[in-house]
Amino acid sequence: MVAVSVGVDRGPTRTAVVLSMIAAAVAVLALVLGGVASGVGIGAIGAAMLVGGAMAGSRTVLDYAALVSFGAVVFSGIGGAHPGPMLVSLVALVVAWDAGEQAINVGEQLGRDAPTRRAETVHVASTTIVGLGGAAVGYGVYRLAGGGQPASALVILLLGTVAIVWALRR
Amino acid sequence: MNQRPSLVVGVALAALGVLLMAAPGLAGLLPGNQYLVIGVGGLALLIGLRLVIERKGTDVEGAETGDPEVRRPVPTPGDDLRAWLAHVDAFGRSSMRTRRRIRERLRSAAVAVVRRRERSSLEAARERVAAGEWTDDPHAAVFVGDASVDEPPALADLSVSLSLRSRFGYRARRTIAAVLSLADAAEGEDERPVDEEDLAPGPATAAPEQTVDRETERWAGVGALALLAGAIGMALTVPTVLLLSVVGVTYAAYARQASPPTVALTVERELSDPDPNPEDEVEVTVTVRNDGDETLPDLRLIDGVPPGLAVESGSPRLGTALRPGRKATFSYTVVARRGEHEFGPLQAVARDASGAAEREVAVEAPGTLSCVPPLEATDTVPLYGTATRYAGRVSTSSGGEGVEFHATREYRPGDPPNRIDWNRHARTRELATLLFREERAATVVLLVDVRKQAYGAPGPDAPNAVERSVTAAGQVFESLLAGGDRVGIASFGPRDCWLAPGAGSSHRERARRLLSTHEAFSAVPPETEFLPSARLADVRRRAPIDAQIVLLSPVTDDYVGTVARRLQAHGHPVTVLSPDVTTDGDPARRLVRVERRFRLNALREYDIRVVDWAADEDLTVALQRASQGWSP
Repeated sequence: MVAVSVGVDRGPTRTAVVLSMIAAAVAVLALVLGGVASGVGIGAIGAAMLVGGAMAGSRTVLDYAALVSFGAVVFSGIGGAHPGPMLVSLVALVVAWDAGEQAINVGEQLGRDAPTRRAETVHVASTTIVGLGGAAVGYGVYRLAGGGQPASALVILLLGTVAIVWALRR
Repeated sequence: MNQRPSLVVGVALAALGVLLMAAPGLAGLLPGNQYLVIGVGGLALLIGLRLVIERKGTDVEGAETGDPEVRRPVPTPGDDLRAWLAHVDAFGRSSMRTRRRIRERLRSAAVAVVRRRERSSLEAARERVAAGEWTDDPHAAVFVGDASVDEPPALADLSVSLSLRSRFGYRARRTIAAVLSLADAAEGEDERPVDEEDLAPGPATAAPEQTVDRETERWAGVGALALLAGAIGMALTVPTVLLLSVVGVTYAAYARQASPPTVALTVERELSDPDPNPEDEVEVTVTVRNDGDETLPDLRLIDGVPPGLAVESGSPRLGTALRPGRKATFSYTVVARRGEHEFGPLQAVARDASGAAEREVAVEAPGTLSCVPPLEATDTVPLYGTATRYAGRVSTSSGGEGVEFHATREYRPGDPPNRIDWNRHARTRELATLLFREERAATVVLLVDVRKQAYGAPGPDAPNAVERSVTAAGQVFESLLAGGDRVGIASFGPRDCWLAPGAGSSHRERARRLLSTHEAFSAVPPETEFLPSARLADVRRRAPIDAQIVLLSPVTDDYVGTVARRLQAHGHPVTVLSPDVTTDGDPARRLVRVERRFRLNALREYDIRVVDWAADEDLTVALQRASQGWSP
């Protein structure tokens, strides 16, 4: 008679999972542009973990996947990849991670059968724009500062970063 | 903690760093010390790792949402016993009270089954059970027997000693199995295998607060990306990696600026048919408008579907983004069921764009779906031969006017000439008067058991006992009224309803409304407690002295029997009409089914008429089947 006795399917929602897949693919593509083979390899593993975590609805897997992917970007950077693609790759992996978590929390609150596409796309678009904006500003300043990298300048820059991150800690 | 100074210092330092990179000549003025590099790098690394570890220990938060799609579940009879057994399994020795309850419950079940099987008195059955002579199973015998029953040898059943389950739980199950097999033998049914099922805890429904703000913590630890990139970049002097920290800082700031959005919504709910018939599909369309002046980038809506209704298709939920003044619409269908169904508030969960802050609001959106089905009649309902002074259809044992011959008696002056036995007069010249069986109207009160205990259903989608009782009450009411009887309606439970016996079409309309919409007959169990004996006194006070009582109850507990017996003892003939909501399956449920059967038998022993109405049976069939065994 009535077929809802099972309750509500609270798995991760499809739209955000698909967006997470796209972002993960972009992250790997940017690593390929960076041209550091080992970075690409680790990045592919991280991206696969990201997508798997999103589909399985596991926040823990997502978090570890983000760390692995981050390691891949850092590795490529150390290997001499151009900073542009690396910034794009890092933003894309954060977007993939964020979209995965969004899929999980929308699934928890609304379930898979509800129309939720708009809430998911707006959220992921917003995360992408903010990340790319920040990366663009950073890249611009980096280009302006140009050439020399005296150790003392790096130290002071890092000290500033520590202070900012500490202040932004919630 | 005020974090502003730290932020200002940080931004200043970062700006200085960028300046030094742009003009390397200035850098020479500062000490480019190796220890400084290690110190700052180490600090960044430590804080970065700490953030990662903190993230690991942080649970991402969010509003909890219920399942308004499904009807609020009512337990299946036997679930309480199942829960007790599961509790014993889980906590072993700690739950003395639960164990005593299980033991007493099983002991009385054993006594009942022995009484039924051996047709002995209560005392004799009690003695048999106490002495452990009622079963071949030593574990069951010890379990409900007194101290004189010998323990089975410790090695008799190795699996108990080796099992992780407590001996108590094992023996309780053995006892259930023993009672069931005796009961099956008594009823002449096949013995079914006993299987054990673990208890699935029922979902809890939490009422939402009016407005709740929370931080979701979903971005917790993102700053670690900045610090780790920075530390590595500086240690290896790779500016590309150092540059990556800008992304971490950006997202940390993005999450930090988040505040819960202002939620100002108007909700309109439209029903395709606010007055449907039962089983009709009703489309519910909900329109939500953002009346605030902020865009809501992530708005999640869950409609307050009445707990007595189930969603058939579509979803009463929506996830969307809503600009000021804009509307969003969603719709779903529910299947109408008898009753007055109030829609609850709409639960709205709004997040900012980053999703770091969340506000949960309950938006009032009143609405009612009232489903008042017409009364359907059954065939004639068998009644006791006691009656009122009104003419009707109950054949009484008093002579007078009527159709069916009853007796003759000596003529008395004033007897109507058409009732004089003229044949006899012709034969014997004596005057005698014929008496016919008088047909009179009965007064009947339909008493519906609506206590919390009466709310049981064989499965999640099946109608519960109260729903079936109310349906039956409607049918009985209609057919009795059509036969000229005077019928009233009463509830027995915390929610009080009383309609004095009466007749006529307006009375009938009142009854139809009451049965459909009175809260006492709601499909959702009552939350409040009540004093059963006081309510029983109310019933006795209100019911006319000559009223028969039809008690509608699933009889899944002992108190109903008391009610029936007391009413009977006070001179009201009682008929118990009992919808059967017990099921087969696991032992606890089957035990409850057997217990109910015993209870009905016990009622019959008190000369109370019992109609056992099986789940898939037509009420007319059940009434006919039951009335065949009754004396007039």
